Amino acid sequence: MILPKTDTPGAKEALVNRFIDRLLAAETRETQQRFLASLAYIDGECMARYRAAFVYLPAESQTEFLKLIAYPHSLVTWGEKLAEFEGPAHFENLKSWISRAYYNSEIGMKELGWSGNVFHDDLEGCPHPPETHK
Amino acid sequence: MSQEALSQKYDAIVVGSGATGGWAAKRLAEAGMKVALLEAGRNISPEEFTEHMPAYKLEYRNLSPEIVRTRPIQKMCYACMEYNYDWFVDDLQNPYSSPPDKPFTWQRLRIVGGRTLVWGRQSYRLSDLDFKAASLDGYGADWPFSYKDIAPYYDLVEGYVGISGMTEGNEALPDGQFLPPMKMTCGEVLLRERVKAKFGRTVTIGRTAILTKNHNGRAACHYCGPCERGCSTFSYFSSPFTTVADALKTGNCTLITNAVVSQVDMDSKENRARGVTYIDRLTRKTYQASGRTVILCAQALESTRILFNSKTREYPAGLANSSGLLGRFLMDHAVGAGASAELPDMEFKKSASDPNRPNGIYVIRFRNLKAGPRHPRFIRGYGFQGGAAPNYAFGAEGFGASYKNAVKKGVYGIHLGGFGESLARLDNYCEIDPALKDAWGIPALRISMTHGSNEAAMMEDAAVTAAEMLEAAGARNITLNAKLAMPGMAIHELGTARMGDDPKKSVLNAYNQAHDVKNLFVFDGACFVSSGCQNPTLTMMAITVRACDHLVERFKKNEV
Repeated sequence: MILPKTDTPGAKEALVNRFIDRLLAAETRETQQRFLASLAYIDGECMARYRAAFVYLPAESQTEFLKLIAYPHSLVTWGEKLAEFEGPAHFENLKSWISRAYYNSEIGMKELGWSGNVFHDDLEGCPHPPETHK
Repeated sequence: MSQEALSQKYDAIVVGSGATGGWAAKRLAEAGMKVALLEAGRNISPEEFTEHMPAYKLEYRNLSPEIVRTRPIQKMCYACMEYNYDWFVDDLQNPYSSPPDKPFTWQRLRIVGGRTLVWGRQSYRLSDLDFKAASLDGYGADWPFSYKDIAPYYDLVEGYVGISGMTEGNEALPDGQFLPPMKMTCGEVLLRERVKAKFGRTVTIGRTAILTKNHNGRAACHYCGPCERGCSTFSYFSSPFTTVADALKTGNCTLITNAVVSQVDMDSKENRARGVTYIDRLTRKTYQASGRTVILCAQALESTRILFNSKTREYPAGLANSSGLLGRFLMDHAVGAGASAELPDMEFKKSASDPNRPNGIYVIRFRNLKAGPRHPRFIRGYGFQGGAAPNYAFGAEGFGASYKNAVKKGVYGIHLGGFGESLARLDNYCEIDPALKDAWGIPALRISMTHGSNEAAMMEDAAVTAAEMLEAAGARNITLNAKLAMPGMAIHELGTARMGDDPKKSVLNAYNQAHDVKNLFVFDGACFVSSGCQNPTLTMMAITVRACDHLVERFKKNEV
């Protein structure tokens, strides 16, 4: 859901899940635990809100929940300081793994226009005459 | 322990094959001296270059956790990655210590070419604003030579290496023998124009050891981007394929790899260096190489470590340390402060297939110039490295199609990062840690360094001036960083065996010769008296050639 198939393939097509499994298997225990803690947090919050783990939720609920944690939260409301909300940090943690794995895959590199061409005659540089940038 | 003496006696034993060792080997071998070039690491082959290999071809897509295990310190360097981490030292085999309240990060390569394989390639001259800084503001010591003494050697080194850049006629940063400059982006041109108009400061293209046209048998850059993974066209300067290759071509130079030098051997009666002892990195067997001169080019801290480990009855505090100043005055440029932002009005379209310029822009020092004014809170000055270009917005908010589109669309980013002078201070030093040895049993260093209040004030000013310059270019969402990074992060370690005319106040003379031992030399960054704010490698190479020419002259007259 973080990097879906659009007119180009998404994370699922790039087999990002398998790669993250492989990468995490070689990672330190600390990093593994941080990743698992973020997954557990999401399921825990979904259980509390929807009485089901994330993966069993209907698509609308999944989107609704992700929207809640996908953006930074202000922790001040009407001048009152609120308790820390952990959702965004866990979301960012998982998203960064998925994003890095995807954009470093062949599918992800092609998504960004990678063509394998590594020889360029010259740089383009600024083509404009002097003093014309505003 | 079994020991074996090499049968040949060399004219010069050069320890280290990086920027300075490569030049020493070339210059001395071309002058007819018989040189042994000792390198602690293995040899390198262009076949292991990976600059054109996409990340997905790597086992862990350049996210390898192996680096975390064996290179927890090395990985702090941006250039240490899954592609090339094997070039960096294994931190478990190469320990050092620092006091808990004085963290220091030390990035090292042990391989033919050393850090020239992965260096940032920025190449700037120092000026008399640096060499004679003490005369100007009363702090520290002047260098034992002036800009005019070193200028011909800058010319010579630049002519051979190939430095691309723009001439600016700025006294604080002398122009050199430049190849055509790399082109600036629209955002950089805008910044250059606005900053000149509003503040009178100069934003120029980075002066870099990358060829913009074919030069000395090497091809012009093809703008693939990641130089730190190697260059199959040898377009950026690295010693194995230039200076070291030239030295070997003379037939006068023998390259000995995997030679971990533990000490300089002394002839106490004659007060002369006899050669060096080294341990084979792989077999752990000990060898002795004998030479008429010994030249340390191992990197500032490593060369000083060898001198400490070479103590004798005559030199109980470390070889060439009658001044007591060996290990003292360690410097590393103050970095970490600056500003970044976006240029929202810039039109652009980014593709991963675009040419990738391996160079940025540079803001020439504008604080505490000779003509004044003096800044009230700090002495000396700083420059900036930076750039303005479209980037992918991997950090974009949200998820789903909107995130995917935002990443691809990108943002036009602009940033400036300060590089400030690190003052030479007696209380910034390295010494031998009596409780720590490396994997070859060689006593390791304890490094004790902090940046002081001058560096802190300077970096705070750098953050503010960076922001005001970005603002002048119309940037939005400006983020300031006014904090100093930990010492070592600039990877510009300098000092610890400084030059000077007075043997009581310095370790080396003006030609890098130890005051105490006439046939012992240190050519690398250890000799620096002050750090300037410029990236030091070009100066280290010019100093090396100057010292080599002096050595050759004396050697021919039998005076060393």
